[in-house]
Amino acid sequence: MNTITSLSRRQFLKNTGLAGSGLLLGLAGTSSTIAAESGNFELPPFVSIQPDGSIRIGMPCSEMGQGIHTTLASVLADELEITIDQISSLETIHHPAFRNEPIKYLTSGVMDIQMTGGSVSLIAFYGSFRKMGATAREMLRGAAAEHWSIPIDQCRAAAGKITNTATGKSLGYGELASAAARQAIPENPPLKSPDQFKLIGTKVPRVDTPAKIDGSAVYGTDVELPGMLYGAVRHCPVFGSKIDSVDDSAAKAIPGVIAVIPLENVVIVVAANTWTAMQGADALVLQTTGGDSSFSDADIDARIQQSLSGSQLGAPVAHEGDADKAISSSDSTMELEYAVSLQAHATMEPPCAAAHVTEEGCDIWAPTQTQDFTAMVAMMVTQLPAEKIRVHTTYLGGGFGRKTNPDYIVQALIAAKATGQPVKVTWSRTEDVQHDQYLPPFGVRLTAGLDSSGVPNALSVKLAGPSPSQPMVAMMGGYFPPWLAENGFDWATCVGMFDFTSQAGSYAIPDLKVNYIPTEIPVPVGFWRSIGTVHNAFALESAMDEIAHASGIDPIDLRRSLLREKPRALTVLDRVEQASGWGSTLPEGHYQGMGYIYYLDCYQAQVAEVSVDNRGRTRVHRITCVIDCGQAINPAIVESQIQGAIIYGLSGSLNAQINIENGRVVQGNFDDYPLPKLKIAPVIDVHIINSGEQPGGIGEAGTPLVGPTVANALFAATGKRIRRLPIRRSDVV
Amino acid sequence: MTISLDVNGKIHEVTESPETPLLWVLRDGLKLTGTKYGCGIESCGACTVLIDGRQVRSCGLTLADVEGRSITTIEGLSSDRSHPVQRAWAELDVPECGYCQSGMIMAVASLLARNTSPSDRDIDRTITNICRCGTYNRVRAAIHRAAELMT
Repeated sequence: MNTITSLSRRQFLKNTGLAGSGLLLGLAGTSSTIAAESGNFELPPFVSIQPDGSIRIGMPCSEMGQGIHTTLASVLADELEITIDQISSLETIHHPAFRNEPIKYLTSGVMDIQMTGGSVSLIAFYGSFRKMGATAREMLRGAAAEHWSIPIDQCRAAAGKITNTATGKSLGYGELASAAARQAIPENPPLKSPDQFKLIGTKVPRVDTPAKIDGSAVYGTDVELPGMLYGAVRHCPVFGSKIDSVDDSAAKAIPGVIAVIPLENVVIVVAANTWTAMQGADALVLQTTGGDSSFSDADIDARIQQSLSGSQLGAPVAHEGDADKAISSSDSTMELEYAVSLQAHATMEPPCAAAHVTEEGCDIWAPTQTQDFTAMVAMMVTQLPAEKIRVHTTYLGGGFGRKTNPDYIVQALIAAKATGQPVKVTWSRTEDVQHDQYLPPFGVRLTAGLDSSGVPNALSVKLAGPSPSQPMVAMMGGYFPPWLAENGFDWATCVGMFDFTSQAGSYAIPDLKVNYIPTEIPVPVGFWRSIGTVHNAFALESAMDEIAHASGIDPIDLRRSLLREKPRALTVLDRVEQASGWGSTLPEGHYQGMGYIYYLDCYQAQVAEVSVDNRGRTRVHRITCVIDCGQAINPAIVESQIQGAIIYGLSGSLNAQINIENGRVVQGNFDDYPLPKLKIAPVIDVHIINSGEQPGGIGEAGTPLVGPTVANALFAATGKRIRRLPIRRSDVV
Repeated sequence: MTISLDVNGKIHEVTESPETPLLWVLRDGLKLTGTKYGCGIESCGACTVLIDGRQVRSCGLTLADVEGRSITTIEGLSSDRSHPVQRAWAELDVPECGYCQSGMIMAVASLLARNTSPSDRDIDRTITNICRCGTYNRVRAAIHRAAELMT
């Protein structure tokens, strides 16, 4: 039973089409129904068919590379019986009906907002977009049946037309749209069976590719408005410090610098163009107070060690059976500890946003993962009511969780309000690298009890680190949300070790205890692609490998014994063993390691094939990934998402990391925070098992297994066990 | 003072100061926003354009450096996405977020203009642009495909 997928039920459809204006169908959740009736909001055109045949689709999700526009459009188009190229426009729309139910569920109701993140877009909207397409199709068929005075079952829908099966005559959807709008909305329109799918399950070409290969795609950085000014920012370098005074004389001496706007811990420079604004920001001399300017990496490690070794129990995340008792009576035990370090998102498009604020209203153009947070900060800055705030979502030049935080949007709003003109603020790369909300550093200590055959039957785990939910907590008013403070759950921290949403894929370890000890550091952290699974999968899958080696059991066989009740997991293990050539003769100097994870309704195993030279330089040659993600809507997009997520995981696993010295980030650009390039990209073989189950989330799925599988392969190569990410050369020589 | 700039076959008179990086003249001055800012230190390649047919990172050149040279941006590579690199990119659906892809495509166009059938080693050495989405498997395949389309 997939708990998350069963949540996504949006049953209410509303037809707002007026006679003669075509068919306009929208999903109406409670709040949008009220809004539509009060006349303040027009129901957004989730699907609109105009008399001229044009078809527009409104999207609930931001397109940040994950292909969600193509995927959701395919889902809707399949049921509607149109081809993808019959869609004339697709646009992300901000609307209360587009609140993300799985996000709400995962945060115990705290974040009841429109947000693209957590890999849950399909989980959230697959069902409703199918139903929307089916509803429109049935209304068009009904209109055709009336027109021809024939039974509806003689009206066949295909490729944007209804054909009279008796006469062969057909009418286009545009011709039928106005009559269709007068049809009653069918409550339960028939959905296709999988054998009737034409688009779902096929490699539909991406709708965003043309604009992304000719330079015409508009990202946040590319917004141009009449009379627009350009902004750049300079933050206080030490975390927690605030501006005491600003010497802006050099900045203001630069021709083209228009305004210098100091805020609490950042200064915005507004100029005639971005380059001048960035020059101005560089020329500022900031005097700051506060912050801990002696804080460093060693302090992070010390705090995490204190949490792991101290008497604090922290939040009880999972208690099944009695792990302590089971461990004390086990045949043998192993105590293992792992750590992960700070990493930056480094989206290729740096934080940026444009805003225009007048008394009549406020417009924001932003690459954002949360339209509601954008609107909230706009209301805060402008003091305008919600209905005067308009959020325009651009393409995102990468999100990966970074663009859930509206810090950069606030700056554009303030600059626009202060100058009375539209302003586009663009961060420099250095500001981005030094003022991110980073992957939180974590320590994980596991004590495993083993039975007489060396298989773990009890596990006690302590997690220590700062919660990645912090920026969200701050957005919700600074109060710790109930999922952490009261229930002891912080899903984003614990997922991958214990997932309260479902235990469908967890290892069968009868006695399990997981405690989370929140450990604060004066460094902002946040949601980094695949959140807590980074530290949890690294720890758990490395530990499984250590246990397998200690017990003389093949690592895949050890997982089999712990997943024997999970047929989908077993299929994945069988397939990865075969596809990776596990245990067969490899090229000289090549070694393999593996890992398994269940994450967001996806069952997945990876095998990494690596070599290492005598100077400790690791080369990852190949990663074989087998994933059962339920129904793969678009196998080409699944493949590219997995491949990309694996490269992302590689970036956090080898060499690069964010270091803290003197209370601030050491690195400042891609020269000292190097990201993987084509040359080091391994061959990534993705094998998709189509179980036909409800679709799971694939945007982040590929990332967390890279660290442990590469580390396990390096153990096979060198006999040296890696217990911290990223892996350094000195770890393997 | 104006400087005349040859971009995509058209002469523009621009008024930015001579030390302004070409990237920002293209983006904010000429509104050719297909060329992206990524790092400002010639590290990531998002700002790659062709100058006299060769790939150059436009954040590292000033307006004064490029006066009189022929500059091609993604907008000028073809008028209808028909350049073989663009055709290969479309065929393989290379972009994810797409932000780096203008620069990636320009770098590949430069490579293929001098080497019509590059080896993987040639590609590794020449195409050093960063793609944070990690489209590298497809980029490599699309380079080979584009080379086929050019013959």
